[in-house]
Amino acid sequence: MPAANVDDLITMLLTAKNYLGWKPTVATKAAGIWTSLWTVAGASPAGATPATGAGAVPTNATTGALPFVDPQSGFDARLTRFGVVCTLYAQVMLYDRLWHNSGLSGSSTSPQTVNSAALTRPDADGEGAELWAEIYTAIGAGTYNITVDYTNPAGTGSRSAVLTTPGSTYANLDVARTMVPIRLQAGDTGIKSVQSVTLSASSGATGDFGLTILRPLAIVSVPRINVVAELDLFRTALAQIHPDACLAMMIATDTTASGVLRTFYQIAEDAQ
Amino acid sequence: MALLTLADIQAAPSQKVRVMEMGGVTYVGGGGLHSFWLHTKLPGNGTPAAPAAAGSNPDNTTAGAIPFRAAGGGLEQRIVGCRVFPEKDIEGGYLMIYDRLWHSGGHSGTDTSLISFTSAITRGDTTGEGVLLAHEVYAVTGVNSITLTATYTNQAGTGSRVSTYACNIYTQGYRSGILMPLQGNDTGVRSLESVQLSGSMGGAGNYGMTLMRPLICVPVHWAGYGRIDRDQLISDLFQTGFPKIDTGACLAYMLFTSREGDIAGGTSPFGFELDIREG
Repeated sequence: MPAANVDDLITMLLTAKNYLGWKPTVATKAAGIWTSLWTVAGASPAGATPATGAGAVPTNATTGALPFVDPQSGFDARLTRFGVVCTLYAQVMLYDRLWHNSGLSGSSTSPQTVNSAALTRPDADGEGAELWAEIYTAIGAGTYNITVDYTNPAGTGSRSAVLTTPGSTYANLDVARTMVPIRLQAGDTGIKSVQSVTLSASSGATGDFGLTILRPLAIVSVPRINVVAELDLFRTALAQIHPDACLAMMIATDTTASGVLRTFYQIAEDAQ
Repeated sequence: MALLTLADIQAAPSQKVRVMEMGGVTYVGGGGLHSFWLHTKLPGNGTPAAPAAAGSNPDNTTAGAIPFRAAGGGLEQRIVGCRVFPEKDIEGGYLMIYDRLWHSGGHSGTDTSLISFTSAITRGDTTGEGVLLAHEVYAVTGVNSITLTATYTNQAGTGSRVSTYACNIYTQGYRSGILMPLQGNDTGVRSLESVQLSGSMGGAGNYGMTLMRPLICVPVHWAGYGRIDRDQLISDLFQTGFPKIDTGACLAYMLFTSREGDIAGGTSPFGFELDIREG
């Protein structure tokens, strides 16, 4: 039975696991722009650029994933603490990387087939999942839209998620590791699969970008440099971490660097 | 009576363990870890020294360990709270209270030969799950940029795993250290097999390797930017995570910080108090 009172929370903490990590600083696009730490080596090795086309479903066994031990049978893993300390003002997101691909061209205006591999956590529906563009090799800074043809959690296909880049700094994808959320079609609360990607015009450079479907777990804001910002179990809302979760982070700072980052997170098991 | 409920914790006798870290030592910090193993602390537990080269398993009687009263027969101890009270300022990051499971020292920064170890964890979960590997500097070894390579057995019992780190001036300062990155998706270290430098660090000095199990991580603040002097930093039951103190644990502490570079000027004295309950 899931935790229902303080005593149950205490029981959960009896077997909590602590994880410490760090990432060095890397260059970023601009202040306020999210930057992926997937390919940044730190306490855990750098993740590789994902497979092209249908991509892959990364797990906790994928190189690049932050350490996470699956819960024992009959238990759910829950995030009970997440904290960071950074040399820059920042927001840091911890998320489960559900699916990713790469190999999309920034200069092709033809539909680029994806037909993504099926999601697995906790099922194939993608309820609550988000869609992001992720840059592995910088594409151009031109004016163009990215339209993603996808299927929503209800199984309805031919849905459109559009990222508009009116030449604004926010959406320019001309720096590697930039991540930009792509708004889903009105009414959709998740994404089940991606069928294709189409650019309205060439960005100006082929580069290499991909799509990432993820589920946010926690976001912490660093209000002071070199001061720990942390969420306890009440503020993490005991976010569930599904078995095989591929934990990863992204960061948005106030400048063109990600800052030296130290992290701490704690995961406890809650009886189902 | 085990400590399973809030009522158990409230009824359990409390042992307040206070430590005053005297600091006041100028050192080149950075690299992420600042070790206080050799520091003068009050109350003391003998005169701490750098470990021997062959390595050993420190325990609660080892000089340098935080002294605390061991649990009574059949009872377990858990940390339910911690408060940190800096005298002036402290590096921003986490104050990590850990169980020092195994350590070595006396290695020369100019020795590039392969150094082999026979190490084992003797307390708690001996698989090595959650055990970290750290590099500690006991005497400055030089400022050359070299690669430190360690091989280890992971939590699953797989040997010859490789951990490497690019050392530089900021990681070779006195009492500085590195949290070694583990290979692949490893989540702990069962034993350390070897360590080797890719080149001379520039000076012999004295460095060592440590296997540690983190128990609690308490956020601490960095000087400036509106920080309040002498502000108490308190971690409650839910923040500490209620960790168990294994019998014979060698409790020690390190700072896990974000700052890198010369932080000469030393840390001003700071203290902390652990609330240990027994049941």
